[in-house]
Amino acid sequence: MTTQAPASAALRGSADSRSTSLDSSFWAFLLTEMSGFALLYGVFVFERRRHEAGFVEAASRLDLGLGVANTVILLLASLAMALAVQRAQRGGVRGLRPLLLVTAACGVAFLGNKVVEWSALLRDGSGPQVDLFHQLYFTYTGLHAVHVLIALAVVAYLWRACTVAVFGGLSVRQRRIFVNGGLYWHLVDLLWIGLFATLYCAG
Amino acid sequence: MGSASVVAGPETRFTPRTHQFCAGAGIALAVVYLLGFIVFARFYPPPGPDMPPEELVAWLLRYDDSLRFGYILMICGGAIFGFWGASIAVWTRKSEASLPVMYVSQVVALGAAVAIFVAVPVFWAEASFRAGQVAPETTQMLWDLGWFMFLFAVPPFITWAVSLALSILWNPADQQVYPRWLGWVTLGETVCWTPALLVVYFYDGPFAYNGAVALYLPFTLFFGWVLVVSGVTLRVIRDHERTACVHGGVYAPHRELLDDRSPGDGVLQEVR
Repeated sequence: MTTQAPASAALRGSADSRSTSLDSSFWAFLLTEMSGFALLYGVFVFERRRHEAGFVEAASRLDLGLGVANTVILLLASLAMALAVQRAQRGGVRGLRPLLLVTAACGVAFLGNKVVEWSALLRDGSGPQVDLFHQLYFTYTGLHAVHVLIALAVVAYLWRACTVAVFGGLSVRQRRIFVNGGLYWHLVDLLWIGLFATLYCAG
Repeated sequence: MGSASVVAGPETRFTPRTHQFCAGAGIALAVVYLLGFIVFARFYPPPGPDMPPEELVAWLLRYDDSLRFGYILMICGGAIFGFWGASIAVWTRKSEASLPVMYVSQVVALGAAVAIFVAVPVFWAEASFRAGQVAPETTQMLWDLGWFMFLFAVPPFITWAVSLALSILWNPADQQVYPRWLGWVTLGETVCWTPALLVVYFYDGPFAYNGAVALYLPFTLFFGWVLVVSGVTLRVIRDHERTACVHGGVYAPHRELLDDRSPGDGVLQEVR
């Protein structure tokens, strides 16, 4: 005769969360990312205090208009993504793809603006090796741009999920990925707002 | 009716002590390495790429004995790393079936990571060994090499951690021993380690190899992650040990503890 052992909590893992579209464990990823960027902001504030005049002068040469435009673009992307998540949680795919398209278009527009801005700075001789402000500016916005690229990949995946789920509706797992994708976009947006405030408003 | 008596074979045996030793090696690794890095080698911060070669040589000679002992501790800590990585890989192996690609990927990347961890202090040790006897620029190059190995060679660590994260997040939840949040934290960690790649561009500032972002961000997060994973792994081992004790010492790696499987499937069977 054999007996069944009580399954340990460790063996169960977080299987319970899989029965809903909420994945609370994804917040662990978001918090880790935010911690990393919090340190980046802290380093910037520390270095700005040490080299205030240089930072103010360098920041004043950044294109504030482009910075504001990028902020609006990312906010729009976040809004579209939030609406998409709201619809996805109901299970149907109707109206999802236009919202994903808006999100993706905003992401691409943001990256396009960054390329224009970086090119202009490099042409003016204000590259990352020029001074500390520009070192921080290019590395921070570069890291953020990588996050935007990842967010666009997430949107592409969600688009495919919608295409596949046209007749049967979204599964619980796909809805969960939509929620997580939406959270990730909001993270990207939040990180940009922090960067805008520290880099562009440093002047 | 008498119970079926089954002899516990190698497929079902579980020795908690060996697993606890390996998982605990993560804590030992962190203690030994940090002792070497911070206390003896005095890397708070270390001389950077913008320090003139002659000044670097003078610094190395000033703290010579302490530095050399620090290198010894660091190289020993690097070697311990292999035990720890093996313990995690083995437990994630449980969640994969007959084609354990993420397990193999972890093992391969872990091998590279251990090699890097061990090689790094070799360059610093050689820089100290010949400081003042060779051209200062040669000493500086050896010094730089050590730091480039320590930081720029971060990709194998990233691929190792991504393999671990994906084996937690993508394999069936009912076969998992690690919680999903650990997979997500591990993925987040790998993102925070990437600034180390930028040391190739900068000679000073936060992204130089002695800078806050390129060095201390990944360094601090890495060892914090090691301690967290060690703690979770020890808990997993304790849970399995409890299960094994309940059933007479026969290890049951999977939840489907059903009647009609052979011992070779690793299914729990009661031993009388």
